[in-house]
This record gives sequence, C-alpha cells and structure tokens, in this order.
Amino acid sequence: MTLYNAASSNITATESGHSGSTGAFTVNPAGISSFSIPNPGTQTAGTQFALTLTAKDAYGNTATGYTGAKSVVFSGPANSPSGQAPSYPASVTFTNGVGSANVTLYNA
Amino acid sequence: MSGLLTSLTRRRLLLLGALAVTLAAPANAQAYWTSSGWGSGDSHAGTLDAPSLGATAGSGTVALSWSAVTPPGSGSVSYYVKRDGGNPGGDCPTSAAPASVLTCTDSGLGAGTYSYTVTVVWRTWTTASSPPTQVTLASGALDHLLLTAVTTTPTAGQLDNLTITAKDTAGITVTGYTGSHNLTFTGASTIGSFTPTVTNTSGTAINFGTATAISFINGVATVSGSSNGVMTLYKAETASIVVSDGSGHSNGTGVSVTVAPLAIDSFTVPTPATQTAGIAFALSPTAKDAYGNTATGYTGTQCIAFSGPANSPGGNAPSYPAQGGCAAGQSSVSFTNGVALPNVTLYNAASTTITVTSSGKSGSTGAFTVNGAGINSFTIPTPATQTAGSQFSVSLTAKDAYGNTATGYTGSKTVAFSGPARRTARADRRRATRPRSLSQTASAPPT
Repeated sequence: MTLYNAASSNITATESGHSGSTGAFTVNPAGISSFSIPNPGTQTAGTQFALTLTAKDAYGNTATGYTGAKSVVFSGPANSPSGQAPSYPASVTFTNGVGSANVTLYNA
Repeated sequence: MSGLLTSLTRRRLLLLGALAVTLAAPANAQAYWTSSGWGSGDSHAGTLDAPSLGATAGSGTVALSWSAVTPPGSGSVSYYVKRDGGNPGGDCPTSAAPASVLTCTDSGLGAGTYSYTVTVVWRTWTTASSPPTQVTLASGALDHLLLTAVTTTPTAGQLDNLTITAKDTAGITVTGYTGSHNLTFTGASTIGSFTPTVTNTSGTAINFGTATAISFINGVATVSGSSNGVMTLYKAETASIVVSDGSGHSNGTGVSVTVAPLAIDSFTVPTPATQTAGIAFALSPTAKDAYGNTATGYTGTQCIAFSGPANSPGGNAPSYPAQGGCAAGQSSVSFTNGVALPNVTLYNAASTTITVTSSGKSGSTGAFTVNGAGINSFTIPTPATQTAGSQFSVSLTAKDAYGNTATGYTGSKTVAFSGPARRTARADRRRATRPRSLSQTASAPPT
C-alpha cells in the first residue's frame, strides 16, 4: 500500500459488507523535491522584500524535514540598466520546510 | 448249598428211556439226565453254598460285595445279582451274564429302599440266593445344582450370599455330595475393571468364569463368614447366574439377578465433535456410580456448574443453561435416569474442554475444537508512521462476530480500502481525498 498525503490518517478495508479500520497513524512527507515560492507582489527597485520558500516533496506535501540553513541559488531577475545586480542571501534558514529570504531587486 | 450227591461212586448206568434222577428236597440244586444210551463216567457230589451279601448306599448307587463261594469241583463259580427280583444296573452281573466278581455297583437309582440278592452259578448249577439285603438310598445321583441368593436384586458391589444345593432328578438333596468341589460361575458381566466374583472356601474372591473351590456339607454349600459363596456383582443389569461343576451339572438356565446401580459418583461427558463459535450444541453429561454404571436414580432438576471454555476475544462468555433456582454460577439442568442434554454455546475459537460439577461430583469432556464463525469484520493493526510515497504493508485479519479469527475466510478477495486523503504530485493541488490504492484486489497482506 502506498499513501501520498502527509497527514494523520486511518485505513478502512471493506469486503462484502465486512469492514475494519486501522487506528490513526501518521504519514510524513517525503524529502524535498522542489520549492514553492508565492508571488511576492509588486515591489520597488532597491527596496528589500521577504520571499517565502517552502520545501515540497514530490506529492505536494511540505517537506517538514527540510530544516536548517541551506545554500539556495536564486535566479531570474536581471541587473539594472546601471548594472546593479539583485541582492540575495548567501543562505536561507528553513524551519519545518519553510524559510524566508530577503531579496532586493534593482531592475524595474 | 445242601448237597444231595453225597457219595462218589463209579458205576455203570443203564438208562432206559428217559431216566430222570431227581434229587429230593431239601435240595435247591438238581441234577438230571435227559438222554439215553450206554456209557460210563464219574459222578461227584458236593455242596454249593450261598454267599453272604453286603451293601452300602451311595448317592444313587449301591455298592455290593459278597463272600466268595468255593466251587464243589473243578472250574470256577460266577455270580449274578438281583435287585428287587430284577436286573440291577451299573456293573453288576445279571442272570443272563453271570460274572466271577465279588463286588459291583448298582447305579442309576433314586431315593428309596432296594432289596438285593446274589446267586452263585457253577457249571449248570445255581445255588440258593443270598438272603435279601435291604438298602435305603436318601437320594439319587447328582443331577443338578440349585443356586439361591440372599437377594436377587442387589445393588452394584453389594455382597450377596449364595447357597448351592446338590439335587437329584427328583429334587432331593444329594447328601453324599460333600467336601470341596470346583464350581464355575457365569452369567454376569464385567464393567470397566470390575469383574463379578464369588469367594472360595478360603475367602478369596474368584472371578466369574474361573473354577472356584466351594465346600459342601451333606449336599449343601453355604457361606461361612466371607467365604464359600459370597457373590459380588458390579454391572447394573439383569443376569442369569449359572453355576456348574464342569461335569455337566449346573443350575440350568440360571437364577435371574437384577443389579441396580449405586448413586452418582461422577459424571461422564462425551467429547463433542468440532463446534462453531456462537452455535449452540447439546452436551450429554451422564451420572455414573462408582463402578461406571449410569446412576439412573439421578433424575430431575439438578444444579450444575459448567467450566472450562474461556470468553471469546470479543468478550463473549460461554452460554450455559439458565440459572433457574440454582446458586449463582450454576445452571438448572434436567436429568432423566441419569442423563441430561443441556445446550451450550461457546464463543472462543480454541481447543477446550468442558467440566460439569454438582455437589462435588464432576466429569469432563476430552479436548475438542471450537472453530471461528464466518467473517464479520476485519482487524487491521495501525501502521507505524509512514512516509508519503513509500510502500508499506498492512495486515488484514478476518474476524467473526466474537473476535475470533475467521479461519474459514481464505482465498483471493476483492477488498476496498478507504480513508487516506488523496494528494497529487502537483504542488499543493488538493483533490478529492482518495488514496491511489483505493480499490484493489488483495491477497493478505495487501500492498
């Protein structure tokens, strides 16, 4: 049997009207498979804002085991016309799969 | 014999016609010639005395003996016996076949008085018979045995004194039947290890079917203390007790004895066949006496405690007959002639025994099996914490309504699983809460 939803659960088996159930047990998330990053909304160049990173397993559960300082590579925003590069943290600290990174972008 | 030819002469005789010589009285022997002609011969004269006869009465027999008589000339004498003027029995010589014996035994006689004579024969002579000798017999020969018991309705194990009497054909006691005789008793049955017995002359209980020394006095054997004919029967039955001496003498078809069982000593409870949890079946406890007879007097409502079977895993206690007027923990059970058929329902699937107890008397079945009933539900142990996406095993156990494993639930079954919510691999897109393996065919353990 394979379960995918990280949650407290129980299982009921039924055959010809006869059934039985387990007690509640826990399904933990698998290891990190990806990050989910909510859109930060409209920002202002040169103004720092917080980006929330959530580690996810392959099934969409928060990979709560993803914890501690992690080296995260950010990419996407370009330098400003004057050549100012985006500012990212050297590492992001995750707690139960969730971390926050302060980012400053310069290219409007 | 009074001899009349008293001289021995040698002479020639001229016989004219048929010359008969008659020797006058008081002779009781005669001589005569019946042919004519010339000849010569010797003539002798002597005496032929009557013997003296003695007689001894027996059981249907008379032993006779008589004195020897000297023949008056060459040759031997012979004798014959008359009983009441007729021929005797036994080995006694008859007038048709005299014999040179001095004793004989007349037999085949019944009780009564008999008169005997013995007569001597020498050549053509017969002498006067002995004076009649009177003999009185108290009985005839042994014809059969008469067996009586103090009681013909003993209880099992009860001592029962026997009296055995030797009888002739007329039913007269054969008083000459005396001393120790080896008799064999038959007719009663063995129950378990208890064999019917009769004590011998020394008080030892001898099994039926084995020769038992019994002492008779004047044709009668009676019990002395615990010896010489104390019978003990154990099996409750009506038996015809036969005693025989091994020589064709017995009490015929026997004396009918009806043995009654004692009061209850224990129960026997036949081991039931394999049962199914939750289905009533009849137990058949039977009251037994100390010898294994059914205690038929154990009748009516009795208070019986049943014990042995455990509660089912689901907590269902065994079901026994109702308490009725009995104390707590007992059932009211109706017995008829020692036998009852109480209904019992067990719920725990296991090998078990049942013990019935009443007033200190008990009995148990042998071990028998109670199988689980049909499936009522599944039990599924709660898994340990699992990791999403990692396969693990769960075990399903089919259970009956009483918590027993439904061992008859076997083979491939289509089982529907439900419970865990469904999550796709698409990040955070939640859908309907169904596991990927919602419905699958599972041969336990499922995967």
